[in-house]
Amino acid sequence: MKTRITILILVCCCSCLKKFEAPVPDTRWSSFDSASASPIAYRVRQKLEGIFTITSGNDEFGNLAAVKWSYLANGADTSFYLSLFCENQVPYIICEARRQDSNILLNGYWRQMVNTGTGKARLMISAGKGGRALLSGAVPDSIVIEGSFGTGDELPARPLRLKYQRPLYKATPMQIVAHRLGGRNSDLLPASENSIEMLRMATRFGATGVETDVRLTSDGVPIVYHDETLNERLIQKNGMLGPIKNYTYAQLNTLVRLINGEHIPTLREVLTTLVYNTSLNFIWLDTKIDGDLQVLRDMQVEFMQKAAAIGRTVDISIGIPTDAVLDNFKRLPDYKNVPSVCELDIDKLEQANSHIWGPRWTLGTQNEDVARLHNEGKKAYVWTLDVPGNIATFIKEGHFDGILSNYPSAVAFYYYAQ
Amino acid sequence: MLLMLCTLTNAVRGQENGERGQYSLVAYISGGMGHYATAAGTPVAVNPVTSKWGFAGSVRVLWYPDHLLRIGFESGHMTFYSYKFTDSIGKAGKTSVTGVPLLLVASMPITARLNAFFGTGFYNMTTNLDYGGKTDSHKLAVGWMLAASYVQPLSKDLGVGFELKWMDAAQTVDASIVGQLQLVWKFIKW
Repeated sequence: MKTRITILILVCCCSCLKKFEAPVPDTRWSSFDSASASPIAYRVRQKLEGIFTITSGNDEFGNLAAVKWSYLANGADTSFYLSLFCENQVPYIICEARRQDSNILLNGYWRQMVNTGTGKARLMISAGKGGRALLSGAVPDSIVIEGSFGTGDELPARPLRLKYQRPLYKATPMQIVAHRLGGRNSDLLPASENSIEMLRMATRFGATGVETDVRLTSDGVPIVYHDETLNERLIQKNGMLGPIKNYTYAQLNTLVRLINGEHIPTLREVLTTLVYNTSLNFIWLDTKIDGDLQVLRDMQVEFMQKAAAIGRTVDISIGIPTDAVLDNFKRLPDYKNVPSVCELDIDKLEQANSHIWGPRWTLGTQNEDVARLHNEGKKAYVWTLDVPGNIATFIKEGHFDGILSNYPSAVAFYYYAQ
Repeated sequence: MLLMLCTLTNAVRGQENGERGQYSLVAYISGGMGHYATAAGTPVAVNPVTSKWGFAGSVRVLWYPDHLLRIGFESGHMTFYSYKFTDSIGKAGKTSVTGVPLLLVASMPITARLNAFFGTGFYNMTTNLDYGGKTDSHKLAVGWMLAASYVQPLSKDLGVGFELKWMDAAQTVDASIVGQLQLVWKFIKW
């Protein structure tokens, strides 16, 4: 007996949980960072977007890539990113671009979303392969992106080559909605879910809109946080436990940090960043508030006006996920004119006069219902589609106006590559 | 649970054949100090001053049958850790993390006076925060306990002892090693 217990204790002591990580590699590259490399102009960037055929590196990235620019506005320091949404299990590559002589250098990292695969990517459009023509403002005969990629912080050594094939598909607009402001913690992204830092990355992942979760602190401040409680999945250990609604905003802001060190953002911070720093044009406020929704309505009006004042159209929609929220929504003054996303059935969507229907993907494409809503001038966004095959099917066979996903890069690939 | 199964196996082997012996209920009333044994994770930005020592009191009631395995229930109250802090504008605050174990316990004598205990169940964890107002917030966390005690008999039904135990609220990654003085009282027999 003593032997058995000893063995059991040894097994317990020697057991361990594997920690999964996918840190963004160090992307410093002397050529790219040298004084001779300079930013490229807007007109050059636009000509670089399109569907590219991958001729080397297919084992990691598949056969096609949708190449698209995004930006993060920060006053005069706006940053531009070139994202390559690839076919094979939908990995992505995110680069920044600079010109050096008549070459265009692309420097960044890649990430495979189905595992922890990541590494550096150093690419180039050389002068003779489209670089010179692009930089001079001409339309090149062909564009070839070539270079290499590596694993982790290793120097890139595996060849990657892409050739321009055709423009991105944009005929029927599609709202690509990133879950939890860009992605989930379980996918090991560089920022925590529902953080400002994640929101700032969302367009790089292919999103045109985002979804987030709104709760109230004990002193009535709308904050963005998914779970009902402070827990190990979402925050760093700090002694704060239990329902988040028990804490004041000051307590949370001073003592609680999300899993990657960010603070829990207020809804005001989220909307400010979305309107002034990103190109995102839609936010779905998943309502996790028990009572009066007036505080949400006030912020919705304020930020839609602020967006309009700077020439932007941003759809800020209040989510209606339950009958209880519907009841509270219907207590808002003039609620039939309040932009909202109703996740319930179509009869309840009509009650709220929601302009977007948000059905669960497991209900199928529901083309008849979607067509009926289109006839009424309403839209339908399906949630939460994550499996690449399902995303492809819904885009091909469905008529939804938007797809909510934890993998906006996958939706972006299948949409633009149509 | 595996330990409990091993204990059960041993207990069955130790069971006497024939007529049953005496059954009894035994209370263990313990008090002592615990030392927090995992990283507290106090936020460095608020200059925390952390105390990892805290009072730990326990009440355990075990059914002693006529064989080696005893089972019962344990509860009590313990402070895992506490810290004082000052925010960026000089405003002070303090917080403590306490737990009420709610554990099903199995026990087995190792020698006549030395006993081993294993418990599994929940800890009702509480954050007591005083910063810009008082907040008490609770969470039920899955956890376990492992202990050994030495008991010196004072009479047929009474003893005193010392117990060393590991209290682990695994779900919230809070654990303390606890040393307690113990009163053992066989209060019902049949």
